[in-house]
Amino acid sequence: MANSKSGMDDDPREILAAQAGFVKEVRTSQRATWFPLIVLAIVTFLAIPIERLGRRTIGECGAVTSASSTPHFCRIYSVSGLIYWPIALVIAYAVISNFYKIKSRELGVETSARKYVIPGAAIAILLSAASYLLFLFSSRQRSVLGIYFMDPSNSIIFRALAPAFSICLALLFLARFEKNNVLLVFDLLYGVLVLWPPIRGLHRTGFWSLAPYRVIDGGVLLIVGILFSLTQRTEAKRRV
Amino acid sequence: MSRHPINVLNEVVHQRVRLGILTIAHETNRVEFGYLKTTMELTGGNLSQHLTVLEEAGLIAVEKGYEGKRARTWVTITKAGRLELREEVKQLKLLISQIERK
Repeated sequence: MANSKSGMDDDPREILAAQAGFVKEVRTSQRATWFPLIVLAIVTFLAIPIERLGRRTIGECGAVTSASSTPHFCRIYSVSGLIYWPIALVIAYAVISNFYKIKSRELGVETSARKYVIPGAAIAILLSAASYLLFLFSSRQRSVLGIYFMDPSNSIIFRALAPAFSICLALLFLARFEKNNVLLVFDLLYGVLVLWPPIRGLHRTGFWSLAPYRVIDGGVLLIVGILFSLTQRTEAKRRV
Repeated sequence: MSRHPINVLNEVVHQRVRLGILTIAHETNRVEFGYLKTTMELTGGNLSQHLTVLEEAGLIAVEKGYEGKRARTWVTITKAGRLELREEVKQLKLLISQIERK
């Protein structure tokens, strides 16, 4: 009833409860978590053929451990991947920004996703630039940095500069922007997936070596994106 | 001696609908008249009256325009509105803590 809602209410607890209800309603109605997750999953899947079929170069070669039985290996860099990721991620963030703008307008509010897309694009560019510098240094035979990065115990640096971690870092900003604790929990688990050595160590060789990781990373983003989509659509229908 | 929170409350803000309008506007860059009407379950006339009170107090800015052929009214919270909202919530919490202490 209009009158009951417009009347003066002297109970501060009720007033604050009503206020909290409005905050929750507005925040929930503006969420579109599923969209960035699905877009980033598509970007991850598209990387598979680009990294496999594009130009590649061999970097530093050496032994995995000092044990004589351990085979030698070489780091293979996908040059096309180094170019693809920053461009694809910046385009993805532009698409995501536009989507939030259109969605919020349709809803009757105006929200800017800048708090997510600007840090996201900046992280993607910075980590890609760092990856490129690492590639330049470590691909020089017998360079000090090259030898340092050949040690598998230092491969955390490669994982931290990988596009999957860039996506993971940016999702923290999305969780903050949407004030979405479920996304925050997912993102922390996703961080473990992309950084934890037992899951992502130096186990694979060959031209398709990156593909399983891309399938896992993209697959997780896609599945969680679909789950968010179903949940958020149900919530939207309930509001109507 | 500090003043009792009840004497600090701003009468323009200390009203459920107006507090609701400020709260919703605070969560967005701009909010449309229709969204406020639906979310707060108000009639158009009732909402307009509250918007006028808030606008006259300088707590919101109202902007009218068109999107295509459709007339739209957008509401933006002002800096003063944000400060008053923050103060109102602070005083309400203080009031609750005083009630619960007794």
